[in-house]
Amino acid sequence: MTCTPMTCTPPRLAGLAALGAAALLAGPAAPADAARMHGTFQIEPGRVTASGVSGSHFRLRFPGGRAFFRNSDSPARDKTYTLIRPGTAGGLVSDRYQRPAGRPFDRDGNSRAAAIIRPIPFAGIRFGLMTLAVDPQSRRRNSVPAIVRSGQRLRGHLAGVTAGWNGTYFNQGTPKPGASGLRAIGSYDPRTRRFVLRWSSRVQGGAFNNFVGFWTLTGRFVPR
Amino acid sequence: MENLTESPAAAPAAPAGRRERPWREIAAVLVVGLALVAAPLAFSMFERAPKGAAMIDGFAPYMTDERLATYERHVADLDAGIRQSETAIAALLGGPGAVDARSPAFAAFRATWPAIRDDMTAMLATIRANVPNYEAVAALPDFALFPWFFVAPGVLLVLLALAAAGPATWRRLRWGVVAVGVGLVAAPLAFSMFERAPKGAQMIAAFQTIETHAKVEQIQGYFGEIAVGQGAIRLELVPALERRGLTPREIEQRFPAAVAIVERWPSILGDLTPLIGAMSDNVDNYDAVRALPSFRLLPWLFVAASALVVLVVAGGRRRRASDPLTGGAAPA
Repeated sequence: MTCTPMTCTPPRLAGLAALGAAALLAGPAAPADAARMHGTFQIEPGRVTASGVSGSHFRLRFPGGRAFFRNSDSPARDKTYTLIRPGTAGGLVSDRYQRPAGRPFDRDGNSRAAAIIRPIPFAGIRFGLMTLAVDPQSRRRNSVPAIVRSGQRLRGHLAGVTAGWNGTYFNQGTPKPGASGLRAIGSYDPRTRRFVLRWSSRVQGGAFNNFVGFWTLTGRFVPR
Repeated sequence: MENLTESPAAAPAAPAGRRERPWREIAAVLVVGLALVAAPLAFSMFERAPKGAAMIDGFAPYMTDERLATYERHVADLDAGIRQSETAIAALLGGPGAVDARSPAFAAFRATWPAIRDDMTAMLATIRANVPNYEAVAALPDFALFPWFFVAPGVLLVLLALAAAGPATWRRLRWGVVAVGVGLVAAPLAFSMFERAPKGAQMIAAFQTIETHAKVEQIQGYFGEIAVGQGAIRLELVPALERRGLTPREIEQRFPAAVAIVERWPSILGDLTPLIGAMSDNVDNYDAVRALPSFRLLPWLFVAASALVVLVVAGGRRRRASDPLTGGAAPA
Protein backbone atom coordinates (compact mmCIF):
# COMPACT_ATOMS: atom_id res chain seq x y z
CA MET A 1 0.00 0.00 0.00
CA THR A 2 1.25 3.45 -0.86
CA CYS A 3 1.81 5.67 2.07
CA THR A 4 0.84 9.28 1.48
CA PRO A 5 1.16 12.23 3.85
CA MET A 6 -2.59 12.12 4.21
CA THR A 7 -2.83 8.55 5.38
CA CYS A 8 0.54 7.73 6.86
CA THR A 9 0.90 7.36 10.60
CA PRO A 10 4.35 7.53 12.19
CA PRO A 11 5.47 4.11 13.54
CA ARG A 12 5.37 5.26 17.17
CA LEU A 13 1.84 6.58 16.81
CA ALA A 14 0.88 3.44 14.95
CA GLY A 15 2.09 1.40 17.92
CA LEU A 16 0.04 3.49 20.31
CA ALA A 17 -2.87 3.26 17.95
CA ALA A 18 -2.66 -0.52 17.87
CA LEU A 19 -2.59 -0.64 21.65
CA GLY A 20 -5.59 1.68 21.85
CA ALA A 21 -7.53 -0.33 19.34
CA ALA A 22 -6.66 -3.58 21.09
CA ALA A 23 -8.00 -2.10 24.29
CA LEU A 24 -11.19 -1.20 22.49
CA LEU A 25 -11.64 -4.72 21.21
CA ALA A 26 -10.90 -6.18 24.60
CA GLY A 27 -13.35 -3.84 26.27
CA PRO A 28 -16.82 -4.80 27.38
CA ALA A 29 -18.37 -2.83 24.51
CA ALA A 30 -16.96 -5.18 21.87
CA PRO A 31 -18.94 -8.32 21.04
CA ALA A 32 -17.21 -11.66 21.68
CA ASP A 33 -17.09 -12.58 18.01
CA ALA A 34 -15.97 -9.12 16.91
CA ALA A 35 -13.45 -9.01 14.11
CA ARG A 36 -11.40 -5.93 13.52
CA MET A 37 -11.66 -4.43 10.04
CA HIS A 38 -8.42 -3.13 8.60
CA GLY A 39 -8.72 -1.06 5.47
CA THR A 40 -10.60 1.74 3.80
CA PHE A 41 -14.31 2.34 4.08
CA GLN A 42 -14.63 3.76 0.61
CA ILE A 43 -17.36 6.34 0.49
CA GLU A 44 -20.10 6.20 -2.05
CA PRO A 45 -21.19 9.74 -2.94
CA GLY A 46 -24.47 11.02 -1.66
CA ARG A 47 -27.09 11.49 -4.34
CA VAL A 48 -30.27 13.41 -4.84
CA THR A 49 -33.17 11.08 -5.49
CA ALA A 50 -36.80 11.64 -6.31
CA SER A 51 -37.71 10.95 -2.72
CA GLY A 52 -34.84 12.80 -1.10
CA VAL A 53 -31.24 11.71 -0.80
CA SER A 54 -29.36 8.43 -0.77
CA GLY A 55 -25.83 7.45 0.07
CA SER A 56 -23.41 9.33 2.24
CA HIS A 57 -24.67 12.50 3.84
CA PHE A 58 -24.48 14.76 6.84
CA ARG A 59 -27.03 16.76 8.82
CA LEU A 60 -26.52 19.30 11.56
CA ARG A 61 -29.20 19.80 14.17
CA PHE A 62 -29.61 23.00 16.16
CA PRO A 63 -29.29 22.86 19.95
CA GLY A 64 -32.43 21.64 21.61
CA GLY A 65 -33.32 19.54 18.58
CA ARG A 66 -35.70 22.18 17.24
CA ALA A 67 -34.54 22.07 13.62
CA PHE A 68 -31.78 21.11 11.25
CA PHE A 69 -29.36 23.63 9.78
CA ARG A 70 -30.23 24.45 6.19
CA ASN A 71 -27.18 24.37 3.98
CA SER A 72 -27.92 26.60 1.00
CA ASP A 73 -25.09 25.00 -0.93
CA SER A 74 -26.62 21.53 -0.79
CA PRO A 75 -27.93 20.28 -4.13
CA ALA A 76 -30.64 18.37 -2.29
CA ARG A 77 -34.17 19.69 -2.34
CA ASP A 78 -34.20 19.36 1.43
CA LYS A 79 -31.31 21.66 2.27
CA THR A 80 -30.87 20.08 5.68
CA TYR A 81 -29.06 17.23 3.90
CA THR A 82 -25.47 17.86 2.88
CA LEU A 83 -24.22 15.27 0.45
CA ILE A 84 -20.80 13.74 0.95
CA ARG A 85 -18.33 12.75 -1.72
CA PRO A 86 -15.17 10.67 -1.25
CA GLY A 87 -11.84 12.36 -0.74
CA THR A 88 -8.39 11.56 -2.06
CA ALA A 89 -8.01 8.47 0.16
CA GLY A 90 -11.39 7.22 -1.01
CA GLY A 91 -12.91 7.35 2.44
CA LEU A 92 -12.34 6.58 6.08
CA VAL A 93 -9.26 4.50 6.82
CA SER A 94 -9.36 2.38 9.97
CA ASP A 95 -6.37 2.11 12.30
CA ARG A 96 -4.81 5.30 11.00
CA TYR A 97 -5.24 9.00 11.43
CA GLN A 98 -6.03 11.02 8.33
CA ARG A 99 -4.76 14.54 8.75
CA PRO A 100 -4.49 17.35 6.26
CA ALA A 101 -1.03 17.89 4.88
CA GLY A 102 0.23 21.43 5.15
CA ARG A 103 -2.06 24.30 6.03
CA PRO A 104 -5.45 23.01 7.15
CA PHE A 105 -7.40 26.02 5.83
CA ASP A 106 -7.16 28.49 2.98
CA ARG A 107 -7.41 32.21 3.62
CA ASP A 108 -11.22 32.17 3.40
CA GLY A 109 -11.48 29.47 6.03
CA ASN A 110 -12.17 26.66 3.57
CA SER A 111 -10.89 23.32 4.86
CA ARG A 112 -8.07 21.69 2.94
CA ALA A 113 -8.59 18.33 4.62
CA ALA A 114 -9.44 16.33 1.53
CA ALA A 115 -8.49 12.72 2.38
CA ILE A 116 -11.71 11.30 3.80
CA ILE A 117 -14.26 13.45 1.99
CA ARG A 118 -14.00 16.09 -0.65
CA PRO A 119 -14.39 19.41 1.19
CA ILE A 120 -18.06 20.32 0.96
CA PRO A 121 -19.54 23.81 0.69
CA PHE A 122 -21.49 24.46 3.85
CA ALA A 123 -23.07 27.90 4.28
CA GLY A 124 -20.60 29.25 1.77
CA ILE A 125 -17.45 27.77 3.31
CA ARG A 126 -16.09 24.29 2.56
CA PHE A 127 -15.71 21.89 5.44
CA GLY A 128 -13.43 18.90 5.49
CA LEU A 129 -13.18 15.82 7.63
CA MET A 130 -10.13 14.38 9.32
CA THR A 131 -9.24 11.96 12.08
CA LEU A 132 -6.89 13.46 14.65
CA ALA A 133 -4.75 11.97 17.40
CA VAL A 134 -5.35 14.99 19.64
CA ASP A 135 -8.66 16.82 19.77
CA PRO A 136 -7.98 20.51 18.99
CA GLN A 137 -10.79 21.67 21.29
CA SER A 138 -10.33 19.58 24.43
CA ARG A 139 -6.64 18.66 23.84
CA ARG A 140 -7.55 15.08 24.74
CA ARG A 141 -5.96 12.14 22.94
CA ASN A 142 -7.99 10.06 20.56
CA SER A 143 -7.47 6.43 19.68
CA VAL A 144 -7.21 5.65 15.99
CA PRO A 145 -10.47 4.92 14.21
CA ALA A 146 -11.37 1.31 14.89
CA ILE A 147 -14.27 -0.56 13.36
CA VAL A 148 -15.22 -4.07 14.29
CA ARG A 149 -17.61 -6.47 12.66
CA SER A 150 -19.83 -8.97 14.35
CA GLY A 151 -21.69 -10.92 11.70
CA GLN A 152 -23.35 -8.25 9.62
CA ARG A 153 -23.18 -5.62 12.32
CA LEU A 154 -20.57 -2.91 12.48
CA ARG A 155 -19.55 -0.95 15.51
CA GLY A 156 -16.93 1.73 15.52
CA HIS A 157 -14.77 3.89 17.71
CA LEU A 158 -14.44 7.15 15.82
CA ALA A 159 -13.49 9.60 18.58
CA GLY A 160 -10.95 11.41 16.44
CA VAL A 161 -13.31 12.37 13.62
CA THR A 162 -13.07 16.14 13.33
CA ALA A 163 -14.65 18.64 10.98
CA GLY A 164 -12.67 21.66 9.92
CA TRP A 165 -14.67 24.70 8.80
CA ASN A 166 -14.12 28.43 8.71
CA GLY A 167 -10.72 28.13 10.31
CA THR A 168 -11.96 26.17 13.30
CA TYR A 169 -12.32 22.55 14.34
CA PHE A 170 -15.34 20.72 15.66
CA ASN A 171 -15.00 17.25 17.01
CA GLN A 172 -17.54 15.05 15.27
CA GLY A 173 -16.43 11.79 16.70
CA THR A 174 -18.13 9.14 18.71
CA PRO A 175 -17.54 8.55 21.52
CA LYS A 176 -16.27 12.01 22.37
CA PRO A 177 -12.53 12.48 22.92
CA GLY A 178 -11.24 10.79 26.04
CA ALA A 179 -14.10 8.30 26.18
CA SER A 180 -14.01 4.66 25.17
CA GLY A 181 -16.45 2.36 23.50
CA LEU A 182 -17.83 1.51 20.12
CA ARG A 183 -20.58 3.99 19.45
CA ALA A 184 -20.81 4.22 15.68
CA ILE A 185 -23.15 1.57 14.35
CA GLY A 186 -23.76 0.09 10.96
CA SER A 187 -24.20 -2.89 8.76
CA TYR A 188 -21.93 -4.90 6.52
CA ASP A 189 -22.49 -7.42 3.78
CA PRO A 190 -19.48 -9.77 3.73
CA ARG A 191 -20.34 -10.94 0.22
CA THR A 192 -20.44 -7.55 -1.45
CA ARG A 193 -18.38 -5.76 1.21
CA ARG A 194 -20.93 -3.00 1.15
CA PHE A 195 -21.31 -1.10 4.38
CA VAL A 196 -23.42 1.53 6.07
CA LEU A 197 -21.94 3.40 9.00
CA ARG A 198 -23.91 5.86 11.13
CA TRP A 199 -23.16 7.99 14.12
CA SER A 200 -24.09 11.26 15.74
CA SER A 201 -21.90 13.65 17.64
CA ARG A 202 -22.70 16.66 19.76
CA VAL A 203 -20.40 19.63 19.28
CA GLN A 204 -18.84 20.70 22.55
CA GLY A 205 -17.71 24.29 22.70
CA GLY A 206 -17.28 27.00 20.14
CA ALA A 207 -19.81 28.61 17.84
CA PHE A 208 -21.60 25.31 17.20
CA ASN A 209 -21.80 24.31 20.84
CA ASN A 210 -24.56 21.74 21.36
CA PHE A 211 -25.28 21.34 17.66
CA VAL A 212 -25.48 17.65 16.81
CA GLY A 213 -23.99 16.25 13.63
CA PHE A 214 -25.58 13.17 12.09
CA TRP A 215 -23.35 11.21 9.77
CA THR A 216 -24.17 8.45 7.35
CA LEU A 217 -21.41 6.89 5.31
CA THR A 218 -22.20 4.23 2.77
CA GLY A 219 -19.95 2.47 0.32
CA ARG A 220 -17.67 -0.51 -0.05
CA PHE A 221 -15.00 -1.75 2.30
CA VAL A 222 -11.57 -2.39 0.81
CA PRO A 223 -9.40 -4.45 3.15
CA ARG A 224 -5.76 -3.57 3.50
CA MET B 1 -11.34 29.13 73.44
CA GLU B 2 -12.76 30.55 76.60
CA ASN B 3 -9.30 31.50 77.73
CA LEU B 4 -8.71 33.33 74.51
CA THR B 5 -11.75 35.50 74.89
CA GLU B 6 -11.42 36.04 78.56
CA SER B 7 -11.16 39.68 79.43
CA PRO B 8 -7.89 40.72 80.98
CA ALA B 9 -9.89 42.80 83.39
CA ALA B 10 -11.88 39.77 84.53
CA ALA B 11 -8.82 37.55 84.81
CA PRO B 12 -7.10 36.97 88.10
CA ALA B 13 -4.62 39.65 88.82
CA ALA B 14 -1.30 38.94 87.20
CA PRO B 15 1.56 38.17 89.50
CA ALA B 16 3.92 41.03 89.99
CA GLY B 17 6.50 41.23 87.21
CA ARG B 18 4.43 39.18 84.73
CA ARG B 19 2.80 41.10 81.92
CA GLU B 20 -0.80 40.31 80.97
CA ARG B 21 -1.53 39.15 77.37
CA PRO B 22 -4.33 41.03 75.57
CA TRP B 23 -6.33 37.93 74.80
CA ARG B 24 -9.31 39.84 73.51
CA GLU B 25 -7.24 41.58 70.82
CA ILE B 26 -5.41 38.41 69.91
CA ALA B 27 -8.69 36.55 69.58
CA ALA B 28 -10.15 39.31 67.43
CA VAL B 29 -7.14 39.26 65.11
CA LEU B 30 -7.39 35.48 64.91
CA VAL B 31 -11.08 35.68 64.03
CA VAL B 32 -10.51 38.30 61.34
CA GLY B 33 -7.65 36.23 59.92
CA LEU B 34 -9.75 33.07 59.87
CA ALA B 35 -12.62 34.98 58.25
CA LEU B 36 -10.32 36.20 55.50
CA VAL B 37 -9.10 32.66 54.91
CA ALA B 38 -12.63 31.29 54.99
CA ALA B 39 -14.18 33.92 52.70
CA PRO B 40 -12.77 32.54 49.42
CA LEU B 41 -13.82 29.05 50.46
CA ALA B 42 -17.31 30.20 51.40
CA PHE B 43 -17.72 31.94 48.04
CA SER B 44 -16.05 29.10 46.07
CA MET B 45 -13.56 31.65 44.85
CA PHE B 46 -10.88 29.09 44.07
CA GLU B 47 -13.26 27.52 41.59
CA ARG B 48 -15.00 30.64 40.32
CA ALA B 49 -12.22 33.21 40.12
CA PRO B 50 -10.19 31.27 37.51
CA LYS B 51 -13.38 31.07 35.46
CA GLY B 52 -13.62 34.83 35.71
CA ALA B 53 -10.04 35.06 34.50
CA ALA B 54 -10.93 32.78 31.59
CA MET B 55 -13.93 34.97 30.77
CA ILE B 56 -11.84 38.13 30.76
CA ASP B 57 -9.34 36.44 28.45
CA GLY B 58 -12.10 35.02 26.26
CA PHE B 59 -13.75 38.41 25.79
CA ALA B 60 -10.49 40.25 25.15
CA PRO B 61 -10.47 40.02 21.34
CA TYR B 62 -14.02 41.36 21.10
CA MET B 63 -14.08 44.12 23.69
CA THR B 64 -12.49 46.78 21.55
CA ASP B 65 -14.18 49.64 19.72
CA GLU B 66 -12.39 48.63 16.54
CA ARG B 67 -13.60 45.03 16.63
CA LEU B 68 -17.13 46.05 17.53
CA ALA B 69 -17.14 48.56 14.70
CA THR B 70 -16.36 45.62 12.39
CA TYR B 71 -19.42 43.76 13.66
CA GLU B 72 -21.59 46.84 13.32
CA ARG B 73 -20.34 47.25 9.76
CA HIS B 74 -21.19 43.60 9.02
CA VAL B 75 -24.73 44.12 10.30
CA ALA B 76 -25.02 47.33 8.25
CA ASP B 77 -23.66 45.56 5.16
CA LEU B 78 -26.10 42.71 5.59
CA ASP B 79 -28.94 45.15 6.07
CA ALA B 80 -28.02 47.15 2.97
CA GLY B 81 -27.65 44.03 0.86
CA ILE B 82 -30.94 42.58 2.01
CA ARG B 83 -32.76 45.87 1.43
CA GLN B 84 -31.28 46.12 -2.05
CA SER B 85 -32.27 42.54 -2.76
CA GLU B 86 -35.86 43.03 -1.68
CA THR B 87 -36.20 46.34 -3.53
CA ALA B 88 -33.95 46.95 -6.53
CA ILE B 89 -33.25 43.31 -7.38
CA ALA B 90 -36.84 42.36 -6.71
CA ALA B 91 -38.03 45.14 -9.03
CA LEU B 92 -35.88 43.78 -11.82
CA LEU B 93 -37.04 40.23 -11.24
CA GLY B 94 -40.74 41.09 -11.26
CA GLY B 95 -41.43 42.50 -7.83
CA PRO B 96 -41.19 41.19 -4.26
CA GLY B 97 -43.86 38.59 -4.85
CA ALA B 98 -41.98 37.15 -7.79
CA VAL B 99 -38.74 37.05 -5.80
CA ASP B 100 -40.47 35.38 -2.88
CA ALA B 101 -41.88 32.78 -5.22
CA ARG B 102 -38.50 32.27 -6.88
CA SER B 103 -36.68 32.02 -3.57
CA PRO B 104 -38.77 30.94 -0.59
CA ALA B 105 -35.56 30.87 1.43
CA PHE B 106 -34.99 34.56 0.79
CA ALA B 107 -38.65 35.31 1.45
CA ALA B 108 -38.41 33.65 4.83
CA PHE B 109 -35.16 35.37 5.62
CA ARG B 110 -36.25 38.88 4.70
CA ALA B 111 -39.23 38.44 6.98
CA THR B 112 -37.05 37.56 9.94
CA TRP B 113 -34.11 39.83 9.22
CA PRO B 114 -35.46 43.07 10.80
CA ALA B 115 -35.85 41.36 14.16
CA ILE B 116 -32.41 39.76 13.86
CA ARG B 117 -30.86 43.11 12.87
CA ASP B 118 -32.48 44.96 15.75
CA ASP B 119 -31.47 42.36 18.29
CA MET B 120 -27.90 42.12 17.01
CA THR B 121 -27.64 45.91 16.97
CA ALA B 122 -28.90 46.16 20.53
CA MET B 123 -26.54 43.44 21.66
CA LEU B 124 -23.57 45.12 20.02
CA ALA B 125 -24.59 48.44 21.58
CA THR B 126 -24.67 46.79 25.01
CA ILE B 127 -21.27 45.27 24.45
CA ARG B 128 -19.84 48.56 23.16
CA ALA B 129 -21.23 50.50 26.11
CA ASN B 130 -19.37 48.12 28.38
CA VAL B 131 -15.98 48.34 26.72
CA PRO B 132 -14.74 50.87 29.34
CA ASN B 133 -16.13 48.66 32.09
CA TYR B 134 -14.41 45.64 30.61
CA GLU B 135 -11.15 47.55 30.33
CA ALA B 136 -11.43 48.53 33.97
CA VAL B 137 -11.95 44.93 35.04
CA ALA B 138 -9.22 43.66 32.74
CA ALA B 139 -6.83 46.17 34.34
CA LEU B 140 -7.40 44.56 37.74
CA PRO B 141 -4.98 41.84 38.81
CA ASP B 142 -5.59 38.39 37.38
CA PHE B 143 -8.89 37.05 38.69
CA ALA B 144 -7.27 33.76 39.55
CA LEU B 145 -5.25 35.62 42.20
CA PHE B 146 -8.28 37.11 43.92
CA PRO B 147 -8.81 34.36 46.49
CA TRP B 148 -5.18 34.72 47.50
CA PHE B 149 -5.76 38.40 48.23
CA PHE B 150 -7.96 37.18 51.05
CA VAL B 151 -6.01 34.11 52.05
CA ALA B 152 -2.56 35.73 52.22
CA PRO B 153 -3.43 38.49 54.72
CA GLY B 154 -5.72 36.08 56.52
CA VAL B 155 -2.91 33.58 57.04
CA LEU B 156 -0.61 36.39 58.15
CA LEU B 157 -3.12 37.53 60.76
CA VAL B 158 -3.66 33.99 61.99
CA LEU B 159 0.09 33.46 62.30
CA LEU B 160 0.51 36.76 64.14
CA ALA B 161 -2.30 35.87 66.52
CA LEU B 162 -0.83 32.44 67.18
CA ALA B 163 2.59 33.95 67.72
CA ALA B 164 1.12 36.48 70.15
CA ALA B 165 -0.49 33.63 72.04
CA GLY B 166 2.91 31.98 72.29
CA PRO B 167 6.22 33.27 73.44
CA ALA B 168 6.35 36.34 71.20
CA THR B 169 5.25 39.67 72.61
CA TRP B 170 2.07 41.38 71.46
CA ARG B 171 3.76 44.78 71.64
CA ARG B 172 5.94 43.89 68.70
CA LEU B 173 3.45 41.76 66.84
CA ARG B 174 0.69 44.34 66.93
CA TRP B 175 2.69 46.43 64.47
CA GLY B 176 2.67 43.48 62.14
CA VAL B 177 -1.10 43.33 62.53
CA VAL B 178 -1.33 47.03 61.76
CA ALA B 179 0.88 46.53 58.71
CA VAL B 180 -1.44 43.79 57.41
CA GLY B 181 -4.41 46.07 58.10
CA VAL B 182 -2.81 48.90 56.17
CA GLY B 183 -1.97 46.48 53.37
CA LEU B 184 -5.60 45.41 53.19
CA VAL B 185 -6.52 48.99 52.36
CA ALA B 186 -3.45 49.79 50.33
CA ALA B 187 -3.89 46.90 47.91
CA PRO B 188 -7.36 47.95 46.67
CA LEU B 189 -6.13 51.52 46.42
CA ALA B 190 -3.04 50.47 44.49
CA PHE B 191 -5.14 48.49 42.03
CA SER B 192 -7.77 51.26 41.75
CA MET B 193 -10.36 48.77 42.90
CA PHE B 194 -12.69 51.45 44.22
CA GLU B 195 -12.95 52.83 40.71
CA ARG B 196 -12.69 49.63 38.67
CA ALA B 197 -14.68 47.11 40.67
CA PRO B 198 -18.00 48.99 40.38
CA LYS B 199 -17.44 49.13 36.62
CA GLY B 200 -17.00 45.38 36.68
CA ALA B 201 -20.30 45.13 38.52
CA GLN B 202 -21.93 47.23 35.80
CA MET B 203 -20.55 44.95 33.09
CA ILE B 204 -21.70 41.81 34.86
CA ALA B 205 -25.17 43.31 35.23
CA ALA B 206 -25.28 44.44 31.59
CA PHE B 207 -24.27 41.02 30.28
CA GLN B 208 -27.01 39.33 32.24
CA THR B 209 -29.17 39.19 29.14
CA ILE B 210 -26.32 38.29 26.78
CA GLU B 211 -24.29 35.60 28.50
CA THR B 212 -26.99 32.98 28.77
CA HIS B 213 -27.41 29.65 27.04
CA ALA B 214 -30.76 30.82 25.68
CA LYS B 215 -29.23 33.92 24.13
CA VAL B 216 -26.36 31.95 22.65
CA GLU B 217 -28.83 29.53 21.09
CA GLN B 218 -30.78 32.48 19.72
CA ILE B 219 -27.63 33.91 18.13
CA GLN B 220 -26.78 30.47 16.77
CA GLY B 221 -30.23 30.49 15.22
CA TYR B 222 -29.58 33.93 13.72
CA PHE B 223 -26.41 32.56 12.24
CA GLY B 224 -28.40 29.80 10.59
CA GLU B 225 -30.92 32.32 9.25
CA ILE B 226 -28.27 34.68 7.93
CA ALA B 227 -26.42 31.78 6.29
CA VAL B 228 -29.63 30.81 4.50
CA GLY B 229 -30.22 34.44 3.48
CA GLN B 230 -26.80 34.99 1.99
CA GLY B 231 -27.10 31.60 0.31
CA ALA B 232 -30.37 32.67 -1.28
CA ILE B 233 -28.82 35.88 -2.60
CA ARG B 234 -25.67 34.11 -3.82
CA LEU B 235 -27.27 31.00 -5.26
CA GLU B 236 -30.73 32.11 -6.31
CA LEU B 237 -31.07 35.88 -6.81
CA VAL B 238 -27.71 36.55 -8.46
CA PRO B 239 -28.08 33.60 -10.88
CA ALA B 240 -31.60 34.86 -11.64
CA LEU B 241 -30.11 38.23 -12.58
CA GLU B 242 -27.58 36.47 -14.79
CA ARG B 243 -30.37 34.63 -16.50
CA ARG B 244 -31.90 38.04 -17.19
CA GLY B 245 -28.80 38.82 -19.22
CA LEU B 246 -26.80 40.83 -16.68
CA THR B 247 -23.09 40.17 -16.59
CA PRO B 248 -21.35 39.76 -13.23
CA ARG B 249 -19.82 43.21 -13.72
CA GLU B 250 -23.24 44.78 -14.37
CA ILE B 251 -24.68 43.04 -11.33
CA GLU B 252 -21.84 44.36 -9.20
CA GLN B 253 -22.31 47.90 -10.52
CA ARG B 254 -26.08 47.96 -10.16
CA PHE B 255 -26.41 46.01 -6.93
CA PRO B 256 -23.20 46.63 -5.00
CA ALA B 257 -24.77 46.10 -1.59
CA ALA B 258 -26.16 42.68 -2.48
CA VAL B 259 -22.91 41.62 -4.12
CA ALA B 260 -21.02 42.85 -1.06
CA ILE B 261 -22.82 40.27 1.09
CA VAL B 262 -21.68 37.52 -1.22
CA GLU B 263 -18.12 38.78 -1.47
CA ARG B 264 -17.72 39.59 2.20
CA TRP B 265 -19.45 36.49 3.48
CA PRO B 266 -16.21 34.65 4.34
CA SER B 267 -15.02 37.61 6.40
CA ILE B 268 -18.45 38.04 8.01
CA LEU B 269 -18.42 34.37 8.96
CA GLY B 270 -14.79 34.62 10.01
CA ASP B 271 -15.75 37.35 12.47
CA LEU B 272 -19.18 36.13 13.53
CA THR B 273 -18.42 32.51 14.40
CA PRO B 274 -15.59 33.25 16.87
CA LEU B 275 -17.85 35.78 18.60
CA ILE B 276 -20.59 33.19 18.97
CA GLY B 277 -17.96 30.75 20.15
CA ALA B 278 -16.66 33.19 22.76
CA MET B 279 -20.18 33.91 23.96
CA SER B 280 -21.00 30.22 24.15
CA ASP B 281 -17.76 29.15 25.78
CA ASN B 282 -18.07 31.78 28.50
CA VAL B 283 -21.63 31.30 29.69
CA ASP B 284 -20.51 29.05 32.53
CA ASN B 285 -17.60 31.35 33.32
CA TYR B 286 -19.96 34.32 33.45
CA ASP B 287 -22.31 32.42 35.76
CA ALA B 288 -19.38 31.66 38.05
CA VAL B 289 -18.42 35.34 38.23
CA ARG B 290 -21.99 36.34 38.83
CA ALA B 291 -22.18 33.92 41.74
CA LEU B 292 -19.32 35.74 43.45
CA PRO B 293 -20.07 38.65 45.78
CA SER B 294 -20.75 41.83 43.85
CA PHE B 295 -17.68 43.53 42.45
CA ARG B 296 -18.85 46.68 44.18
CA LEU B 297 -18.35 45.01 47.55
CA LEU B 298 -14.93 43.62 46.76
CA PRO B 299 -12.74 46.57 47.85
CA TRP B 300 -14.98 47.20 50.85
CA LEU B 301 -14.45 43.66 52.10
CA PHE B 302 -10.75 44.46 52.36
CA VAL B 303 -11.48 47.81 53.98
CA ALA B 304 -13.78 46.19 56.50
CA ALA B 305 -11.15 43.60 57.43
CA SER B 306 -8.53 46.31 57.66
CA ALA B 307 -10.70 48.53 59.79
CA LEU B 308 -11.44 45.66 62.14
CA VAL B 309 -7.83 44.77 62.83
CA VAL B 310 -6.72 48.39 63.14
CA LEU B 311 -9.60 49.14 65.50
CA VAL B 312 -8.78 46.05 67.55
CA VAL B 313 -5.18 47.16 67.99
CA ALA B 314 -6.03 50.81 68.60
CA GLY B 315 -8.92 49.97 70.92
CA GLY B 316 -6.74 47.63 72.92
CA ARG B 317 -4.09 50.27 73.40
CA ARG B 318 -6.61 52.87 74.52
CA ARG B 319 -8.31 50.48 76.94
CA ARG B 320 -5.04 49.48 78.57
CA ALA B 321 -3.97 53.11 78.82
CA SER B 322 -7.13 53.93 80.78
CA ASP B 323 -7.23 50.68 82.77
CA PRO B 324 -6.65 51.48 86.49
CA LEU B 325 -5.43 47.90 87.09
CA THR B 326 -2.75 47.79 84.42
CA GLY B 327 -2.12 51.50 84.61
CA GLY B 328 -1.12 51.63 80.98
CA ALA B 329 1.48 48.91 81.32
CA ALA B 330 2.59 47.52 77.99
CA PRO B 331 1.13 44.12 77.15
CA ALA B 332 3.29 41.05 76.89
